[in-house]
Amino acid sequence: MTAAAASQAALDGAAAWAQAVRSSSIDAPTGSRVERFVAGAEARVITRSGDGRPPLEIITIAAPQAAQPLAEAAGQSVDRLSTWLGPLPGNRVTIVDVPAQAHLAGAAYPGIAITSSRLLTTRREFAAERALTVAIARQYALTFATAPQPDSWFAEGLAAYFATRAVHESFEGRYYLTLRSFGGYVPHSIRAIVMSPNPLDPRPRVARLAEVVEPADAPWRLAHGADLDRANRLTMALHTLERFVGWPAFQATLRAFVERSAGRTPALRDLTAVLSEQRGADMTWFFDQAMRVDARIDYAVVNLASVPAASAGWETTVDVRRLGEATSLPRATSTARSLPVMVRFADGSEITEWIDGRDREWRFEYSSASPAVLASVDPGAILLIDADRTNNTRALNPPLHTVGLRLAFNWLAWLQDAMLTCTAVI
Amino acid sequence: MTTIVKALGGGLLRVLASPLVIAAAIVAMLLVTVPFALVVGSELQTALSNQQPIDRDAGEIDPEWWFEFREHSRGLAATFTPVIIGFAAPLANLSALLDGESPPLVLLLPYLLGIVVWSFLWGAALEQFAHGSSRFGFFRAGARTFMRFFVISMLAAVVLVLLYVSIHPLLFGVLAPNLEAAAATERTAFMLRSVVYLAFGSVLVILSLTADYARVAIVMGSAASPIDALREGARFVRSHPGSAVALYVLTGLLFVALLVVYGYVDVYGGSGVTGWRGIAIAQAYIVARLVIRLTFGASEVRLYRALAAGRVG
Repeated sequence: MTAAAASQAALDGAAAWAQAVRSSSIDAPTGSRVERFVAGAEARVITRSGDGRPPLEIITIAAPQAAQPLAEAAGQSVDRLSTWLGPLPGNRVTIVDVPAQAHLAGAAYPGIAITSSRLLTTRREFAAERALTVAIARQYALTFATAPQPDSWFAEGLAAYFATRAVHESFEGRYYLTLRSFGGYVPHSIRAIVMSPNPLDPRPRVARLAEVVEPADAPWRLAHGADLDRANRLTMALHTLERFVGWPAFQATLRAFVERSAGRTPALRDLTAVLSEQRGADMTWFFDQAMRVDARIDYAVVNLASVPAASAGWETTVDVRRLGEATSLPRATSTARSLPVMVRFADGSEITEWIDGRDREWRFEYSSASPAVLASVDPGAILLIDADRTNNTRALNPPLHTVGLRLAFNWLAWLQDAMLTCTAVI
Repeated sequence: MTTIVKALGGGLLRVLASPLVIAAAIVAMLLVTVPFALVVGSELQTALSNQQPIDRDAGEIDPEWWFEFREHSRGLAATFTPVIIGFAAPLANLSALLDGESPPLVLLLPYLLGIVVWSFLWGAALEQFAHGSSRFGFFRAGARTFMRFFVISMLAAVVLVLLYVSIHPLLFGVLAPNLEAAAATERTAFMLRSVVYLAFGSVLVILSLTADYARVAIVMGSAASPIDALREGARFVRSHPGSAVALYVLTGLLFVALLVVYGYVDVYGGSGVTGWRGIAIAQAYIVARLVIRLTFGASEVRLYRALAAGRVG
């Protein structure tokens, strides 16, 4: 969608907010909390249209200096999400900038996105823009459920997935981990930690961003308690699927699903049907296993040994075990190539085996000219629903990790400082 | 005011002229902290080596790996959070002190060791600042007052814990949230919280001053037992509140200046700060902080002597 548009005359903020509340399903307490901050504020309207899509009004209720950047950030988010999932639901979104102590940043209701411009911020934080992106991304899922109900964990899981992906893509390469201290008022961005790295980086991106999942008990969440656990599981399953099938294919699936779900309250089986159709294979098994929140999925390399052979060369043994109860992948697939186990040798050669994820233990033995140096189950970190990925890999005689050494020195300085601070008063 | 400035200036010069004391403080801090760092470092090496082999040679920190590691780490390794990096460390530690964040239980041992080490160091350092090195040797001076200083620190720690379970929840669990929620802007909310910080910080300063002057009183021979020393410390602070607080605040400003410099270097110091250069800067900050901490003691000795004898020594 290209921004074509026409800035209209400024409106009264309170009136714009009243209009937004009338056409939304915001809960009364939250509505009242926002109301006290919009009194006397101005609202600006921008109409975006293009590419044959219906026009979208973006109404921004914010201080004059914050209104323009927020409207631009909202426009960019809308464009990105529209490209992925189709037009944003509804023909109007009202953006409200409230003070941070209201604890409403990231709140989303149909047609309403709430954020907080911070008093103190850094060039690498983008706090208000990120919260706004989260709230706008949630709009798609809000058409599937507008309040907590038995099946709304599905909408909450989708909302968190859409929001996480939108934040990563919108702030790729420029969003750094920012810690807030002194009651959350003082920010400090850590330049060593890029939260949204380049998408060409093959490592998984952070799946649980604070701005998306916190606060867990927020009134705008569509699921609470055990349902929220299911929603979180769905979010991780969706991240896993994205890595499994690739973003272009998964994006096409999501778009088709969103389009087909217009005007309905879809469930997980509807998404599974679209996914199966797009993949040309029944994908029911994936969600059957992935959504078993009572079961733990955990694959581990429990043993890696490489010893000199009696004659010549090396004998290597690799033991892989499924520690959890659930299986993640089906035995019945035609090739049975479910989950890869990679073994790397000192000469650089690699062997990849495929295991049937439903078994419990696997042993691989090799005779080789070089000793093994590493064994890894799911070496590409595809299966993000694995409960503990720190046990997926074992290395033999690994070289000193300079990043680890540097981090240990940082920890040393932190402990020294913590000790000096703790004993300063006494 | 002249007395206070002279006490601060003289104290700082006295510390800078005592390289042995500074070196002892540096070595003592390293002796106490390095064993724990070795444990954490070893766990880190294992964890990093056992990462899934997906671009494992990337030079920078992988946040996703870090979150996964934190989720499954226990003991000391669980304290390995992003706050350890550079300037985030002092910021987070000061914030934790004022916001009353409970330290992980696993840190109680290093903190206790810190109290033990400083009970010894203060004895040796204050003796040198008060009487020079002629009366006792460094180790003998530290050993002579060690037990009494340790008792003073432990009693102060008990009072500190009481403050955190009584006054702190009222200030930061009831008062501050209500004040902040009532504020119309974040600026007002921050200012109101700062006022609450100031109130609680004042209580901490009084506790700190009492413990400090109790130690000074022992070294100056004004008190023999820890209880008498604490009484004498409290009496001195009550008798000279303006001077004692002003000196504390002035010396504290040195620490604030150090934080500003550290923050500036960390934020604007170039891309290499988080590498080895960052580690060198962090250790330089620790050394400077030790000097400032010793300056607190040295200047308080001078102030105590000046106000007792009517002149700055």
